[in-house]
Amino acid sequence: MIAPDDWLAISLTLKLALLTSVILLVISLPLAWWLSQWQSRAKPIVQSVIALPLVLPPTVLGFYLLLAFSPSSLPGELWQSVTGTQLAFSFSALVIGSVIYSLPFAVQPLYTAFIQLDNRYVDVAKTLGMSRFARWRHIVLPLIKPHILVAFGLSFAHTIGEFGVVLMIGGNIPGETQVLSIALYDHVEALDYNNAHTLAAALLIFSLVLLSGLYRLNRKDGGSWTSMSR
Amino acid sequence: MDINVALTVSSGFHINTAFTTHADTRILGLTGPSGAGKSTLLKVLANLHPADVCKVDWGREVSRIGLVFQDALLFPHLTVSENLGLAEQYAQSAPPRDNIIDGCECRHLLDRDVQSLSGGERQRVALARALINAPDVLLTDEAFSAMDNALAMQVQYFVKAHCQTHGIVLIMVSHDVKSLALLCDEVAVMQQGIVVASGSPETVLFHQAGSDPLYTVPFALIQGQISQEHIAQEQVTQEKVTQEKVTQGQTTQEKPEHKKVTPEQVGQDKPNLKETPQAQPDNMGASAGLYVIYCEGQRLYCRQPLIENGIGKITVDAQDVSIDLSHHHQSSILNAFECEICALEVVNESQALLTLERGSTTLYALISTLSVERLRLTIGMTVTARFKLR
Repeated sequence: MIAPDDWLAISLTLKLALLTSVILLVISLPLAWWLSQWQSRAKPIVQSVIALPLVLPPTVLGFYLLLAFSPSSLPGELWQSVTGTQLAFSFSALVIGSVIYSLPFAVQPLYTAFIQLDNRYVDVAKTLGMSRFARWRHIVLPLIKPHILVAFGLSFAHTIGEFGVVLMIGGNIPGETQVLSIALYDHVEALDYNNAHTLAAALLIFSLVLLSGLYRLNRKDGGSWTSMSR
Repeated sequence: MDINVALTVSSGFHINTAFTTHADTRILGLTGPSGAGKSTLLKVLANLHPADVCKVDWGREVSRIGLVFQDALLFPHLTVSENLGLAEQYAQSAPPRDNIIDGCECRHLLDRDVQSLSGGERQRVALARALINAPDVLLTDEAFSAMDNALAMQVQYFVKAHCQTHGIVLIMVSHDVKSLALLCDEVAVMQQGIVVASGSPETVLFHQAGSDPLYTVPFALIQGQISQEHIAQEQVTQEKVTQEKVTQGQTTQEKPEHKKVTPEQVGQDKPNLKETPQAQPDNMGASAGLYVIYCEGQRLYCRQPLIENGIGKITVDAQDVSIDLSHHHQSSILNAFECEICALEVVNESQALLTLERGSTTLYALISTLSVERLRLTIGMTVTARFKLR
């Protein structure tokens, strides 16, 4: 059976994943749109920066984020002066870290969607007298809906499986920063293999189900976001 | 209208069109070879493509310019009726929705998925969507190309009539110069980004016909009073059919008088028609679903004329016209038009183009040079031009 502390870790992980995915969608939609329309020599550099979390060891990212979040650096100091609490080792730090870490998983499917989107549909909508907002609402968003779901699902799954970044910037505070992967690591360190097995199996099955759903969606849509999954 | 557009599409390809149409022109045809810049010009006119210069005087106040692409571009996530509904939602004024749906032959498609439609069906829905949106100007880019001929003409006639009724300025881009000749007040020919000719269809398309490789097969525009007979006859035919239905059980031995016949059969059944038009009541045109046009005092039959104010118009391909020296109707070809040869031009080693005239009507005939020799055709001869129905 799952221990009470593990339930806490599960709910914290789900909360983190949900929050991260929602924030990522809000950021990635305009970012991916802008990227798809932007023509510049600097574009590959910006794309590499966004894709960095794909290749960088999570600990490297976590290390730099930890430095940035500490009260002695500018971002950490700003945060502390505005909120009155320390950023490092807080749930907020986990959310920020997760957003950066999972950014390419949200941006890439949306970028592909915008590149593949036939702009002439938008042109037709323009000739029909639709405002910019109406064009997004009636045409663009419905047409890229499958890609939005994929972006959301991938961000969610990737955040659930996060370990290195969380360990570096969040530490291991039950109820605050102790997510599933870290709780599992704890169980293994304490040689508590029963609980480790339960958590590991739950994570495995959950990820499998989620990914199957995404692949199914992907097959229906015919898009290709798979190149981004590791 | 007054159209002045200039832009650079790519290095070495510029569009530079500046021309003024007649003040009354409301339907303009635009034609020319592929890659001439017609589609780009339409996009500029619809404010979908930037241009260095874009000064257009439409001859009326314009706030909404509709554009129908060749690919139809129906929104794939919506059904046909949802596509039309969205256009209606953003329409400038309440459009005659039902009239448009029927005119574009879309009624039976309303519940269909866009993906399940054929190319021609998509184009019809796209036209209906554009019209339902109640534009001031409608631009169509090869928007009838995927429809079969008869349906394309029917829908084109409807679009023309609708635009005329509602004061919509129409610009049609098409390779189908015959349709443009029938439908448009004026025609412009574009080549390599420049309008090389513009004016009435007669002056632009037919004069160009012999010289330009694009229009290697010239055609003529024939017009005349539409006979009212076919309408009256149609009613008679319908009554007859009703009677037949009523008395069907009792008259099994006898074949009904009215039978469906092809135009060719009609010609064979009733020879010497041309010579005695008044003597025989003309019920043939009606029974075969044909129209009769009186042109230069002669009867011509056709299937799908453009009818406006009692005048019917058709186009006749030069290669459909043959020359006959006999006035007796011995062939299955229905239409016989007596006229005079006023020009004879050898266009290649085996073919000659005859220009035939009668009154203000001009007809072209593309025949073999061998026939010219055998029949000893010369300028000034009176001949009978025969052509099949299209």
